[in-house]
Amino acid sequence: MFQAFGSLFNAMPGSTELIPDLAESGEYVSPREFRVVVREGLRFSNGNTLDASDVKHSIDRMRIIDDANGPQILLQYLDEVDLVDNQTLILNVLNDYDQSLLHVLSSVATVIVDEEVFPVDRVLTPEEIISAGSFSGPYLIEAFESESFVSFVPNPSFQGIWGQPKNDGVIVRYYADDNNLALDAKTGQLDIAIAWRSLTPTAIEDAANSGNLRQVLSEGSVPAFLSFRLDTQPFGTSLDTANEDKARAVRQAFAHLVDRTAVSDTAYGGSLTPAFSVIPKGLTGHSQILKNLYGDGNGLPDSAKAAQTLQAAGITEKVKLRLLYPPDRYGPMSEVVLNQIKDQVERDGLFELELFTAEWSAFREIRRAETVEYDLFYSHWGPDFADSDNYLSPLFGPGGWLATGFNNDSVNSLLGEQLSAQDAEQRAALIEEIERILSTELPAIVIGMDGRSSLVKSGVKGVDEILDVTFKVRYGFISKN
Amino acid sequence: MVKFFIERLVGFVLTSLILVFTVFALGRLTGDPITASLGDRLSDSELKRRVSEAGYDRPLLVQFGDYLLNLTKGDFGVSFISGTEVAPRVLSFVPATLELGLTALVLAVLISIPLAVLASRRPGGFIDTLIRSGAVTLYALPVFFTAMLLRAIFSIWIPLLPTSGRVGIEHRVALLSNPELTGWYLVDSLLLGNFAMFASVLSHMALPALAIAILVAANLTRVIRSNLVYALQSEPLEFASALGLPRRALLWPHSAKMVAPQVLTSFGYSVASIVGGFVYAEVAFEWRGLGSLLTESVLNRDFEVLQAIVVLLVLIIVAANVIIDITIQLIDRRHLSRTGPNE
Repeated sequence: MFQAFGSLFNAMPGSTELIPDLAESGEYVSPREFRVVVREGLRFSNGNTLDASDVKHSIDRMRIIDDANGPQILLQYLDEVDLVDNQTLILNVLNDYDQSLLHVLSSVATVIVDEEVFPVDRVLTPEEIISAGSFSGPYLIEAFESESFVSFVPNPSFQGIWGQPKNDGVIVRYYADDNNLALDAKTGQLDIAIAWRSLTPTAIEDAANSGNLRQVLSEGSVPAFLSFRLDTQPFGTSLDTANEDKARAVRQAFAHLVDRTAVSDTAYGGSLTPAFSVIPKGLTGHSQILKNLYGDGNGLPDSAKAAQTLQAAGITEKVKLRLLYPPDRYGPMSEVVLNQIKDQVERDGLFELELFTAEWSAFREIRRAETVEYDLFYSHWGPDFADSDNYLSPLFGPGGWLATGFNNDSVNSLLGEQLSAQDAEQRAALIEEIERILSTELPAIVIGMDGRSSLVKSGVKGVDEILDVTFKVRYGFISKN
Repeated sequence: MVKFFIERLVGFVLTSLILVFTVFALGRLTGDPITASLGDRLSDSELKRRVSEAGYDRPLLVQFGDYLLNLTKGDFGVSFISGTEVAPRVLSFVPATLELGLTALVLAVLISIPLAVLASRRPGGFIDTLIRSGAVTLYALPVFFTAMLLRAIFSIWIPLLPTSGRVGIEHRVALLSNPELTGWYLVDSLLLGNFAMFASVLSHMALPALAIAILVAANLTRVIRSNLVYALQSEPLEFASALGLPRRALLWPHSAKMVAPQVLTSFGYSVASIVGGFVYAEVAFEWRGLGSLLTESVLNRDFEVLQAIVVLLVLIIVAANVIIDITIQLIDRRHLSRTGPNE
């Protein structure tokens, strides 16, 4: 999406700082009004003017179409968009000084489309989009086949901060089978092969050893969680044996036993980096809090502490846990990861962990069901944009995606405060406080940050830069000899 | 003859209805497509509203009745995953499958007939045994295994043919950006006058077509060979042979006419397994046809697309068998009372 359609704000590769892109400026003029000035002289690739009216149209359109698969949920904290003049808009927000707004304005939910081409109430077909030829991003789409192939060529009208592409065009081919991807990379038919959770370490090593490929790992920004159902876990709130302190002790003891480094060494070709914070590296509030609080203090497990935690809570018997995971969703290595964790927590006889599987769509339903037969679930959270709030509110706010049943008044209040905190240091402090509470209550244990594993042909440059925490793969920065 | 035709037509309609309903009901047993696709993204009230709007909370038979009515208008509904109409999407994948399928069938016939004729020269002899053993072995091999083996040999060890796809990447823009083209890449490359493209399509098609052809040829070889031996050993042809009729003439047209009904019947039985072969071959070689779309729709829980493909395949399989029955009837009315050899 970002290759062909521009945004008001964006970040350069390797940075998470959002700066005006197709916008000239943006600032809060009151607690709930954000004024954006669109740059003058911008045009779509078909020559039509790109101005504030197109921006309003693009946002309104997203809401009106309201496709169930669409990203309009990212606009949930954005109220009306008012047009002031050709270049100026006022975006009305629902939370004072909402700090996630810039990220929303850099997301897929607010990419800018031509109001003279894209109807406000209908999704165009790919053929209609291509034949209209109206793009606002660094590239035009030359050809497209759904879930198979896209051909991008540089857009000479593009004036955004990413600049004109460093290549003459990019052809993207999608593979249904990652073995075919690895094979084509190995046989030199691809300049770059980007795999998402799917290439095994063996496949990557085999391809990288073919001589003309090197592996590039992106910075991890997709947290992998072991999340508890607070109602059904041992001593959970719905059980006869319900006891909040004991339930917490179970979760904390579990955390003392997880060896993230061992998991990372074998999982996903090294793309799952150990994580001791829900917030990825590079974002506001990132810390190593779990390393400090659990295990030996250096990131390794400590079974003595785990045993002590259980004893102190009066738990003397082995704790039995049932974990459900979707093997079809997180790649072939998810089974390896979880069996490793099983070995880790069972090693000293404190826990017995049974692993169960369910296909992804069934997993989603089971996890959110009112009554479940499982205590733990394994899942990855795919963020919508690179902002700390996106790793907190959707997961640990009321009715969070992890479906733990966690609902903490202090956390809920702090989530609202950090979202409105204009001062970066103040916001960081609020986020750290949230993490402190989460690390004590532990509704979910983050074990790693998942990134992307890529195989890059020799002579191809720029890939290391673009595989950053933002997950925006900016093809325009890639070049080859 | 008319009675036979009507009987077959009625059977076709009934069989299709039963199969389509079975798939429809099985799909609904796992829940409605909206909940399956979007269940955890929407609030309970929003989900309920969308399910009710789409009519998925109505009794199963009522839903099926509506579905059938829409089918008669060519309306296969809208995919909740892609948001697009199902019928055009599914139909856009048909040329790829037909192109591959027809090529595979031609290859299968070209492989099986000569082998069967060769095997029938001396029944029980070394060549006959070799060919029959080979056919049994190849028939037992799963298509995905054959596909992997072929790719290992011809794309990796001897890098002669491409690993996957329908055509070289350098030709795809030309094929995708021209709305006048047919979707049959061999035909389209000729329409564009691009012989390099034609060669690229052929080279990409070789391995998946061969993988399917091997499955079909293995069965056909055995059936043709058995029936040929039976035919050549039958009284009329033995008598003709004794009168000095050359072997070539015995084979064609005399044996051919005797063998055809059995071969066609056997082919009819194997249409369903051929369809299964397509699915594996298309997925293995990233051949974007109905088979790969079927797999995707299962993985994505795109019920509307899955239902449409199954309906299409059911109609194809049942229609193929009806056509074969009628063809057999036209070739030889005595087929109805004949029994062929058992393999």
